[in-house]
Amino acid sequence: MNTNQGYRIGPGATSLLMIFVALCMTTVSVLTLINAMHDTRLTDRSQTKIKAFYAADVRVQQELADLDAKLAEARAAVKLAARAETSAPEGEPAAQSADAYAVKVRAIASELAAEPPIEEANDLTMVFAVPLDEMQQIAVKVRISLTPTGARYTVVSQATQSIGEWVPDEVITVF
Amino acid sequence: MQDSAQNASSTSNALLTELIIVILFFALTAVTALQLFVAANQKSQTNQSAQEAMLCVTNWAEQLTGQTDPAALLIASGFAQDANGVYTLRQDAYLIQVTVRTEQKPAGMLMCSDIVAQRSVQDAERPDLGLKVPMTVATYVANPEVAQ
Repeated sequence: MNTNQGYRIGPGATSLLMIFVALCMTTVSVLTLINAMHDTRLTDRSQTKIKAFYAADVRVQQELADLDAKLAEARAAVKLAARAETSAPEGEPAAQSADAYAVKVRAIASELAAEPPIEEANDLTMVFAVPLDEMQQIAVKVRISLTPTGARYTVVSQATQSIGEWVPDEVITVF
Repeated sequence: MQDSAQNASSTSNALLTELIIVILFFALTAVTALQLFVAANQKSQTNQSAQEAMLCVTNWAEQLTGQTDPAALLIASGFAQDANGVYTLRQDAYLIQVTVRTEQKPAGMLMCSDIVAQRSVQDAERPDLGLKVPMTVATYVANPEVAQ
């Protein structure tokens, strides 16, 4: 009587092993493709953000051009009015034109500014904003001269700001 | 004796059939996996090219932002100007093309630079052939003489 009852690997085991290896290969390849697709989405989002930033920067420059055009127009109008009043006593036209120019500058700044302009000495500082996307904007701080001579304006700062409501994420514990 | 031989033959046939089925399944899965790997590799290469092109474009955009004379900077940086006024430079696998435009404004000028990074057409086997990334930057230059 044969009493050899030892464990023996049948031919089916190798088949099962091959199927397991094939399934592993497929799983790895699918995961690789999913990873590449996520990378594509990330690249697209990154490109969209960068392009939006530079497009907003171009709009900032156009806004500056518009502001400068208004300031130049105001200066030209004030100087024209001052020249027309040549019959007034000497010294008065200059003071009057400076005041008239300051009034026009205040009106222009109030029209364009996102916040109330701040006036100090002979300058007026205003901030205007250009939207970048739903969550961000580019804020530009400009110092405008209230006197009708010299540089019309100076850009003090230009920065990206968050405008969306900040909602704390309490799902993930960061630390 | 004859029954034993028949049993052995039957077992061999079953084993052969099983092996054929497993090998077919393995081949089918291997082909599918290979196709998925190729698709993933192509996507990965396209992503890499898009990121490199964007890096090239943003690099030049940063250099041209705030420049009152972008043409001088481009010439000094090795760009060549063609007959249409387009400045071109080969940078690694990319061709950088910059078109400088000047928009006259009431109190100054808006210097606009249209930048395009395009992947080299020499690398014909790449899936991202002809990839183009455009961008525009502008700088306003006020004319202090206006209304003075």
